[in-house]
Amino acid sequence: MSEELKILFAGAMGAGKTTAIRAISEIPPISTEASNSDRAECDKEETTVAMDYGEITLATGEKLRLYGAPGQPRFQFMWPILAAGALGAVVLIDNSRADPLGDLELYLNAFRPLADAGAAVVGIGRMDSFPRPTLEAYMERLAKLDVVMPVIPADVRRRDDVLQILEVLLQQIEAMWAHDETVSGDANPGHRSPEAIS
Amino acid sequence: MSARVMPPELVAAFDDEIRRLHGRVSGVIGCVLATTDGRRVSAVVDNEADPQRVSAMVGSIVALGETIGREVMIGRTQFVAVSAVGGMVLLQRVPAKRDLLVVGTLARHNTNLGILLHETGIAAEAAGRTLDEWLGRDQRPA
Amino acid sequence: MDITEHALTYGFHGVAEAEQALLQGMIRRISRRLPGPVTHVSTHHAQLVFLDDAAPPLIGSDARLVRLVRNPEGRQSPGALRMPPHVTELLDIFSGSFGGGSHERVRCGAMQSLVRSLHDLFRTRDTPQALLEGDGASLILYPSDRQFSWAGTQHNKQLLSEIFGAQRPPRLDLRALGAQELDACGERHGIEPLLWHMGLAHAHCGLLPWVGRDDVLRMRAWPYLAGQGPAAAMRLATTLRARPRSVAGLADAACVPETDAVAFANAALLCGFVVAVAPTDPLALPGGRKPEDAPMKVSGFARLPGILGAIRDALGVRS
Repeated sequence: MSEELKILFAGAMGAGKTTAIRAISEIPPISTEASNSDRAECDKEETTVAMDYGEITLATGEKLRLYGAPGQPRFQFMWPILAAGALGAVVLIDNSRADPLGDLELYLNAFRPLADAGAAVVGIGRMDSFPRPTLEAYMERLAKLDVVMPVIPADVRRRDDVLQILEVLLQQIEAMWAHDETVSGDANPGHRSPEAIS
Repeated sequence: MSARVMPPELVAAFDDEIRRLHGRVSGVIGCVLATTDGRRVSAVVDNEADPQRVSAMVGSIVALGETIGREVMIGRTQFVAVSAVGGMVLLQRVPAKRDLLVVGTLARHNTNLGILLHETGIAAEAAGRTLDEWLGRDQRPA
Repeated sequence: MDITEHALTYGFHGVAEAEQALLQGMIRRISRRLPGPVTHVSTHHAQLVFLDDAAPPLIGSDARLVRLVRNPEGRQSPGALRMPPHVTELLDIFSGSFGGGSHERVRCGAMQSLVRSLHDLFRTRDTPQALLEGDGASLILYPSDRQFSWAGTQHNKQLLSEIFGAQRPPRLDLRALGAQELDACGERHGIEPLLWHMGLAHAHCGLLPWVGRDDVLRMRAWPYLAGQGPAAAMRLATTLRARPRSVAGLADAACVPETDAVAFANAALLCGFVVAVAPTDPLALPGGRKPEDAPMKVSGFARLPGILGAIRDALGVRS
């Protein structure tokens, strides 16, 4: 039985998680949208309340599953459920929001294990029209949090931008794998067997 | 509609309905009325469960239940039930002109499921009528 | 002395004054045929050093040495130096210097001097504004704020952009800024893009002068300017993020030419995204923070490269 291959898209309401999944999924994304009752927080009609789901078929026949997590902190209970077993995470930040650096910190803390393992990337949206905070400011905040991770300006409405983010994510995962293999000297150490992971 | 701008009299009417549901079925230990996007509107919970968190979960699970219903082509989902060793939870959408509210009922494990379903449905319909009335009065509901 | 004003510098070590005069006469004559000024400087600063064979060892100089051999018959006579350097051979020496690596070395010397000054300026942050200018272009630096602004005309801005865009070593110089010159300042920008391109431009002169080849590079912040080059910068960044490495080790691990790794390292070091530590420093060790639920475990360790390849194929992204 093939294992689950999953990439998670996280970030604040309106940051573009559903859009990003739609940009690359080969199926029409499955959404759990409800009327947005907080237009002050984000002025859009509907918001994801459980998850978004898209998928891509690999040449091996396996599916790469794309999950979008609901953005509001009250849905935090969904985040670890969706992150469990994920290959990596894309954290999308909307630079037009009131406190994008606070958003970064919130989602980074939530997905810290993935970030520490080199399996997370931050995409910053709307930097063209909202240039502040700058990328330098994001770097400073990450430095304070003792995290080194990619921060990439991106317009997730553009498929190429989503692909660029994913390529950096895949490169990071690959680099960490190579590092781990070097350290362990064993391409398939027993303690890393898939059966040991849930 | 925003729960933040929901007038106090409307919230009070919902509170009454939730309290009535809580009181009229023995074994019910919690009732939550939430927006479909998971924000608490009204809640009575006897145990330690956090109504804010439960409200968010009710919104998510109703949406997931309806999504599964569509996916497997079994028509519109009427309710979602969670059965556990120590109790059960019934979740359903509030039937109204606009899909804005969900209701969740938490009951002990020995509660009659049929009665719970019936009474939760009655409370949901009452909340729906209250909501429709308010929407009808309000010229700019959203 | 600013060596950027001189095409070639030379000095003497252990050469008697009478012999120096003789040589300088020759140099004056031939330097008229050379493409730039040739200047006598102290041995320490010289690119070419005329060395008396009998002189004590020359310590601390990396100059090209021109050894003067005495005629055995005239050992006691100061005029008995065997030529080279006679005029023809001396001309060859200088022409060779201009045509070959030495001219490049002068340019690299200027570049190294510049990046060192910039690095010190922005590291200490205690120097007030300074002006970086050359070839008619200028900009104002604000080290305490890690910013710069363009000065003068749009032409200046374009010129500097071209210099950095083409990754040529700029012939620029630093000088203190007068108070009234500050009035002409334009909008300020973060210094990092400028430093990034300085680092890239420095690549053909090798690693930054204060960084050793065996030093270990350690990432302390994601190099968000990696999209501005070199081509393999993103791969180099992800590779270095995984663990600290020497520049050669980085090139090897990322499977990219070492020149790309040097360019990336220079740029990232100048911006402060990366720090260089001695191989013996504890910071040179891999971080090793690897949570138990590390994601690569999910799909089976050995299968991961194949899975990533399949994902890339499906997404249509380059490896």
